[in-house]
Amino acid sequence: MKKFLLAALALVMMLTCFTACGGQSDLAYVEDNGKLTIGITIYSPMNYYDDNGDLIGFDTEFAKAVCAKLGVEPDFKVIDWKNKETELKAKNIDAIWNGLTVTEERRENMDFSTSYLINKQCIVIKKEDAEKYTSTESLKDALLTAEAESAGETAIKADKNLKNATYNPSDSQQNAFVALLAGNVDAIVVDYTMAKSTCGSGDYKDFVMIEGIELTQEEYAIGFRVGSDMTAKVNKIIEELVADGTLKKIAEKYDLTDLYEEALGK
Amino acid sequence: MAIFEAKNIYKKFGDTEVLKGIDFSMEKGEVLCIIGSSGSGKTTLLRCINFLETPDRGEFYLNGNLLFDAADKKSHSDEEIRQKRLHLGLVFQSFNLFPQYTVLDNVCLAPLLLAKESPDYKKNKKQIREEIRAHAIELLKKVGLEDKLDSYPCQISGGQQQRVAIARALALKPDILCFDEPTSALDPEITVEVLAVMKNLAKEDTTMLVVTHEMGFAREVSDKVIFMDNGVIAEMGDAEEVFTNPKSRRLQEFLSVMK
Amino acid sequence: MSFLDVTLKLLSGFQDTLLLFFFTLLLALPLGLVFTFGTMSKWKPLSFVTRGFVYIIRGTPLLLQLMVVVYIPGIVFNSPLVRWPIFAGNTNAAYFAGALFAFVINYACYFSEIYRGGIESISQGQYEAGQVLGMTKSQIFFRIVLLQVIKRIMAPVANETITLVKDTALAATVNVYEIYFMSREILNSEFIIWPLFYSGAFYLIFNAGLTWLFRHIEKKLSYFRS
Repeated sequence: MKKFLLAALALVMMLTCFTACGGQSDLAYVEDNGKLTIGITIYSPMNYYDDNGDLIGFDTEFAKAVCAKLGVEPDFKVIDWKNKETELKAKNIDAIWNGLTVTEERRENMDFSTSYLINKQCIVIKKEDAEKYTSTESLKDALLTAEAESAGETAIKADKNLKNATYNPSDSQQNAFVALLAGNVDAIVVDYTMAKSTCGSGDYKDFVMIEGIELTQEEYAIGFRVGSDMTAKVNKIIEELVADGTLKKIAEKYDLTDLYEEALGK
Repeated sequence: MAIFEAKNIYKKFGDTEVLKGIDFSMEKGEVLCIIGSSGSGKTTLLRCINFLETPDRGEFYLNGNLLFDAADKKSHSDEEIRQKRLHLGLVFQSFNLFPQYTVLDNVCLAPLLLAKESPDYKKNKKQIREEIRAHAIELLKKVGLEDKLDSYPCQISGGQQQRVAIARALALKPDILCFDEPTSALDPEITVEVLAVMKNLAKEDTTMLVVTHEMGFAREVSDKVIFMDNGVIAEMGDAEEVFTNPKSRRLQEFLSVMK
Repeated sequence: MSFLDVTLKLLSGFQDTLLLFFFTLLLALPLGLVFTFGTMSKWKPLSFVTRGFVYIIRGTPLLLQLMVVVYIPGIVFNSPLVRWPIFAGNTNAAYFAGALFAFVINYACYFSEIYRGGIESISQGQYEAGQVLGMTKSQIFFRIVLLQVIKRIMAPVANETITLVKDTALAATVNVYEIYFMSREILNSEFIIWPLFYSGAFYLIFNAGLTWLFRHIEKKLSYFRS
């Protein structure tokens, strides 16, 4: 049994080496393919469809601008967000670029570009509860959800009041919204950008953000494969896009100027 | 000359020796009945003769020619065994009709498949099919089922099914027609109709090898009777002789119980 | 989004659902028979390996198998599925093919076990009757045994097929844009939830058709008893 385990371990290590040592640099790989495959989910204001069915959004236009400078075509691929690390590792995609929050845990599986937007976490509740829930204090006995392993979850665990609430993670931010709609939870902690475009629309027309609550702030960045030379290259392009004002214009278009300026614009 | 001869047949299942040196022969047109209590090896012997079991030792001869030699393993391939089987027909205790085919198709299936192997089948397809069909209908008439041609096995009685099975076995014109307790699964009053068909076949000089518990039938129809006991032929001879004047104690006991 | 828009979008997803369903069935039904012959083989190594394989596939979640097919080529072999030359850069086709592969293998294993049960339930007498009538092994299988097996396995196969219709929703996790994926996408971009439940109607209607079809086949096969 021991021998078998050792053999299995050796095999895994060989395969890992094979993967790690495999061939050319990531940048050359992308350039060879002539396109940058970008893993996204459909969520406004980052990547979503306009009335004509065309993909738009802050990250969409941002990625297009970067790819133009790289001299490759952007290839947006809608993925299951839960599998984003695996998709990246499997080289099914070359970048995760969809309001990706920078966290220490994620650094094990990917390299981050320069942060380009501030990601605030905010609390969304039903309008009818607006008077009941005004602070984290008032939510300490409430039922809460956020996306598992997300910035929202980190925010809940870090807050002295929210950490006492009953918390069940959801498998996506979208499911957190559905849970609130169904009344399974009293409040959800989600990305500010997402909440801003979601509250008041469709079935979520009676959802509101609680104003004036400061939760932990995090940042959005692009995720590349660990050790990829894409990161440095793209960081340089971002600098250029900041300098010539391109990125600021895109932020203005999607009403994200404040978050952009906090991250890069000063 | 004997049409069929078995020489020194042995068969073991695991450590149990079921056949311990069987020798017998039968003449063309003869009816040979094998009797004996259960476990005496009579069904195993019949299955060996039909190659459903392979004897460990011994030979079979057909018309004086070697048909099977247990020692010659090379001749035991599926294809060779298949060819050898065509000399023999077998009617099972449990009929084993093909449920998805009509009575007529049950009888026609094997001859049709066999005909396809012959080189001139493609040329005379229609004629060959017609002949097989006509022959099958004739056989079904012989067993009294000409009005059941298009019935399915599930629509007819057990006795009728067994008569179809007899017609099916005859369709390949075997040299010897074997029966494995053909009436054991039937009610007594239905047994009669199957035995009647078999008696008719005997009258027409069909060579038959019958494993049976029907002592009356064995006595009336068979030319020769074999009494098997514990894997050997304990007594063999003229039917009248065996039944009226049994020599061994085992046969005497057996006959007294069967009455 | 109007009812019509939602219906059209869901229909476009349902097209992928149906494609996945039909191709899985088309390939898994015969492949299952191959596995059956493998597991029932008298050659021990073959039956051992096939049995082991069927055991592994039946013993692990389809969801996991989907992940293995879509991610392992890239992670372990440095040859991402979506870059395989056969797909000529069509990533949608790559994901679809990956999901199809997992579905076919998974369902072939289930079908093979159903077949095995069916074949083993046919009495030895049927084989022997064929043998003494001078039939070859393949004649016995195709002319005598097969139809009886088909009749016996019809009910479990129908069951498995209806399960397959619903299981196709799992392909959403590996980026096959079938109807469940589409209804999620509507929820995520338009923030309306009813299309999620509306999508159930498509499965229901399709399964109603399948149920009718299988009942029809069973009726067709009721002319004999075995």
